[in-house]
Amino acid sequence: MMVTLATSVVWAVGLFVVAALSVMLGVYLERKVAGHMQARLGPMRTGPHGIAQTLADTVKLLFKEDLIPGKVDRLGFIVAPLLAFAPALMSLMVIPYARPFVPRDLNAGVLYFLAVPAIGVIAVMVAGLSSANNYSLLGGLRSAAQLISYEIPRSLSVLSVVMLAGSLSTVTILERQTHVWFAVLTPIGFALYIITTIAELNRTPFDLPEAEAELVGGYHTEYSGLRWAFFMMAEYAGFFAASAFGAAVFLGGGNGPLLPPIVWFVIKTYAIILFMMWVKWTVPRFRIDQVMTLSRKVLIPVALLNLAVTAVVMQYV
Amino acid sequence: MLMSQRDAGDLIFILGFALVGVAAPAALLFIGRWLRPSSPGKVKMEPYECGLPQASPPRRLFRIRYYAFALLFVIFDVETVLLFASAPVLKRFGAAGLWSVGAFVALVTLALVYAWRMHLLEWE
Repeated sequence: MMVTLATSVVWAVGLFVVAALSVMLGVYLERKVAGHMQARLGPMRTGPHGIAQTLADTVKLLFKEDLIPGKVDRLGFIVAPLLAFAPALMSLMVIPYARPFVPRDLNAGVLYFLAVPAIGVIAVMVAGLSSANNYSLLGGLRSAAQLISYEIPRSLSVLSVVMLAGSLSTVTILERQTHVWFAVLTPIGFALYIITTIAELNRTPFDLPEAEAELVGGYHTEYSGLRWAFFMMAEYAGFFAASAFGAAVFLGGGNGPLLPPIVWFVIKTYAIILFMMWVKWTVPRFRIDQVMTLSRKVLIPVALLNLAVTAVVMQYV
Repeated sequence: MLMSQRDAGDLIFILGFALVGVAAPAALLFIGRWLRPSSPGKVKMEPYECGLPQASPPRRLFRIRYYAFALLFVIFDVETVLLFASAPVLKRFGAAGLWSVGAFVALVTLALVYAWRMHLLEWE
C-alpha cells in the first residue's frame, strides 16, 4: 500500500518536472513557429535564439502580484486553476513513453486518458462562473459546450484502435503495433483524433473559448500571475499529453529502427505537436455555429461509419 | 473481495497523482507568497472590462440554448461508454456479437437522424 503510494508520488513528481519542461518548450516552440511562419524571428533576446525566454517568463510570473478581484466568488476562483492543472498531470500517468518509462499500465488506460482530462471542463466552467466578469462567463460557457461536443467523436475515434487491438490497455495497444501502426490501419480514426484533439485543447481554429478579439481572455480574463500560469500550464501539459497519447496509440510510440525507443517516442510526439502548431498558424478561427455543427453533423457520423467499417472488415477479412 | 490487489494498487496510483497534481501548484503559490508584492487598490479590484466600469454584472438570468445539446451529449456519451465495454471483446463474440452491437449503434444513430430532422443540431 504505502510502497505503491510512494512509487506513485515519485512518478507524479517526475512527470510534473517533465510536464513543466514540456510546457516551457511548448510555449517557446509556439512563439518561434508563429514567428517564422509570419516571416519574423520570434523571441531572440534571452539566451541564444531566445531559448531562455520561457524560463524568464516563468520567473517573472512567480514575482507577479497575486490579484483576486473584489467581486469574485473566492472559493471557486482559487480552486479552478488547481482543478485545471491536476487532470493534465494525471493524464500523463497512463502514457507508455518507452520502457522502462511506463508509470502504470491500467487495464482501462484508454478510457482513463479520455475521461480524466474531461475534469478540466469543470475547472473552466468554475473559473468562468466565479469570476463575476461577463467575458469570463461567456468564455466558460462556450468552452463547456465545445468541449463536451468534441468529447464524443474523440472517444469514437480512439475506439477504432481499441477494437483493432482488442484491449483498453495503452501498453497492450503499443505492443500490437510492432509491425504496422494503427494510423495506417485506421487513417480516418487518426485524422478524427487530430481534429477533435485540436478542438479539445481550445487551439485555433477552435479557440472560441478564449477568442481574444471578442472575449478578451475568455474564462481566465480575471486571472493573473501564478494562477493564470496554472491555466497555461494545464493547457500546454494537456497539449503534450494528447500528442504523446496520439504517438503511442496511433503511431507506434517507441517502435522504430536503429534509434532507442525513447528517441522515437519524442520524435513522433513532437511531430504531432508541430503539426498542430502548423494548423494553428495557418487556419483562421471558425464561427461558433460552425464549430458546433461540425462536431454533430460531420465528425460523429464519420466516426460511427469508420467504426462500422473497421468492425466489419475485422470480422470478415 | 470486491477488488483485486492490482485494482487497489491502480486506485492508489491515481490518488498519488491527484495529490501531487493539486499539491505542487498549491506549494508554488505558497512559496510565491514571499516573492510577490501585494498592493490591492480600489480600481484594481474591479472586474476587468477593457478599462470601462462594468456595464452590467453577469449574475443574472439569460438564455444559453444548451438544453438540446446537453441532452444529445448524454445520449451519445452513454452510447460511447457501452461501446468501450464491448469493443475490446468484439472479436471474441464473432458475427453474433458484431451484429447485436451493430443493432444498438443503429438504434442510437436513428436518434441522431431524428435530431437532425428536428433541427436540434443547429446552433441558433
